[in-house]
Amino acid sequence: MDQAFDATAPEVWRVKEAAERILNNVNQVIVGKVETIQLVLIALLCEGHVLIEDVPGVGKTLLAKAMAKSMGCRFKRIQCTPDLLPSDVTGIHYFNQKTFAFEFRPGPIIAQIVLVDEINRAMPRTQSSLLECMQEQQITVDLETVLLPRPFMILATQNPIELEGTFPLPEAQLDRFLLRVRMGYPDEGEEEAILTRFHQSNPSDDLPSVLEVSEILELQKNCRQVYVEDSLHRYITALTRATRTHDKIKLGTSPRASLGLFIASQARAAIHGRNYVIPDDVKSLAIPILAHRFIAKTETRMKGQSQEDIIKEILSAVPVPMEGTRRPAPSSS
Amino acid sequence: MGNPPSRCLEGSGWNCHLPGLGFQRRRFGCLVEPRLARRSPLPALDPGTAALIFFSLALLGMSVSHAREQNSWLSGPYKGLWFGFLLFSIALILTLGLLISVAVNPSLLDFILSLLAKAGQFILEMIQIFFSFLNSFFSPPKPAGLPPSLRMPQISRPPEEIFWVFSDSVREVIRFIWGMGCLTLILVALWRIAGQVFNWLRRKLSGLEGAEVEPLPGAFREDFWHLLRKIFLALRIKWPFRGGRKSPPLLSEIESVRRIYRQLLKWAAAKGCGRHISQTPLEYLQTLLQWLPEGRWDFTFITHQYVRARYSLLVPTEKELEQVGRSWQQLKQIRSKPAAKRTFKNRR
Repeated sequence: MDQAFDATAPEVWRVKEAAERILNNVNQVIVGKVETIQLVLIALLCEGHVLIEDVPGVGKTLLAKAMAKSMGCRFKRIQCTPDLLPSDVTGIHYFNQKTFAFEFRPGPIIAQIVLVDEINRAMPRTQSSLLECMQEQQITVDLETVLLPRPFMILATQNPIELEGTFPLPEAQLDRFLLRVRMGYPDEGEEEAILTRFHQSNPSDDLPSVLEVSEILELQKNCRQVYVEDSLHRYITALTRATRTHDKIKLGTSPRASLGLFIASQARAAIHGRNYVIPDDVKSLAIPILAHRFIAKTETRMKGQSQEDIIKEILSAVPVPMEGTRRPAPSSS
Repeated sequence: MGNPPSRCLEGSGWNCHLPGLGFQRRRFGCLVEPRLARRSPLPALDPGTAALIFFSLALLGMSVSHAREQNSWLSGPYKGLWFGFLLFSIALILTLGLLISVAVNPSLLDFILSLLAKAGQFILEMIQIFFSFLNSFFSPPKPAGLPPSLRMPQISRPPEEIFWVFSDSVREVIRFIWGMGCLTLILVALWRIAGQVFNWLRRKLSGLEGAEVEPLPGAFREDFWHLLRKIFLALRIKWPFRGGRKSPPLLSEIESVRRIYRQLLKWAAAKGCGRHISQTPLEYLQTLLQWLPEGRWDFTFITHQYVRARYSLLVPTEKELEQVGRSWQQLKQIRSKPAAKRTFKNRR
């Protein structure tokens, strides 16, 4: 529907065209789940990271691998276990007896797309070793700083059930994930299509690459050129501030969430072929971006209200900036 | 001097009557002693006995006051600890008192007091200098004296060496500026304090104590304007100020699209299909399409034109503007027709 009235810049059309290429390619492996694939793509265009959370067997790891293959990036996988150490992730300096010198052996984090599988099974100190690379795109090993290649994206998966023997991610870690997406079960038709596609072989084995690394970097730059009107700045901040004053929330979202919502809205607009953001972009991204970044009060959790429900409440209370809408009153109620 | 209460007070005050200390001021004891002496003719007690009675009473008081708790040293398992703690604190207080009595003598006190007096005098002098500097800005009061006597010899006064002379009008202006500056400073201070108090109240009332609360500069001002608006509304007086920030001037093409959309919103709301504040234009479009399917094309066209005019920097073309106007007219015609005869023609 959006395309009907858009006559936008060619840079934005390039983003739209590339997004369609990736969507079609990944759709060969992942049946349905267009919105989930779009969200992962948005995270890539925003240089963000994604936490894929769902029950086992719905295709979390497959999605991550398919995305990495479609983009022609260097892909590495880290299978998190309780005995995984930070040095197993970042790399170590070892003594080479032939050259009689210490040499750096890079860990699996030095890649472009890193799949951190079952991240909540790693110990907190190993989880914390990802903080620096997620925010600053560099790692420090034995006082030596190593810059990570661009683009760099972490796709972490976690299973929300079977919490025995797991270490829940701390807030600082969760805040560094731009998006948290859920796969969800496929419907009946989609499940039948999965059986048909995987009848003879796994289609992800020979999935072609449809995007070059240099192209991705250019698309990332193009996304930041998308125009965001002033009233939408206020709308984004009103949403994030509402999480800080909501009576069901113990700890609200950080300014990083506002920034994440801002740039993700730009990327979504570009994917839809627009060079300007509309309130629908912000609203559709509010749950994936904000829901995992705040702590709900205990009584709210006891009542069975999820973080998504609270964000929906906030979305229905904060006025959208348009004609006939007054600016929200400053009171915190 | 000869009765026990006064002796006790002496013991608890400056005068300990310890041999060899030589500090016999008895300030507190001297003040209270004559009054107590008249009322309580009790036999004399030496300071040691008085102190022993005092600490015994204190010990009893502590034990009684803690007896209600389960962990009182009288009844609970912390008996040894409490008693030891009490003895230690008594010993510490006595030792400190002894040390102070030894160290502090009248000459040292005089020295400290003289230092304080000098410091106070210096500060007073600085304040006087500052005020005399400020006073130099204002004209001296005119003496209401008698007219000069003709018989008195005229004495020529030597000209005063004044660094800078202000005329009366300039002085008045400076005085006014000075007064306004002081007033502004006081108002700003009150404003900031009130803002902080409002913030604190807001957090308290919302039950957010302990949570991370973003500082709200200007929250008081916003609340104040909000309150004023409410009062004006209650009194049915038109709000004289334009609300919110001043938006940049819009181009006429954009403004006309927005105006038509405003009319559309009012019209739909009057007909019973109002927009919820949280609905985006595209979400509201779906509501409109369900409400009046005949106007599908016109609703869609107007909404999309509005979205582009409102949220982008793109200006609608003349042709698009004409089409928006036509669509709006068409919608009004659909509305005016009887419901049974409503038909939707695809105009493209």
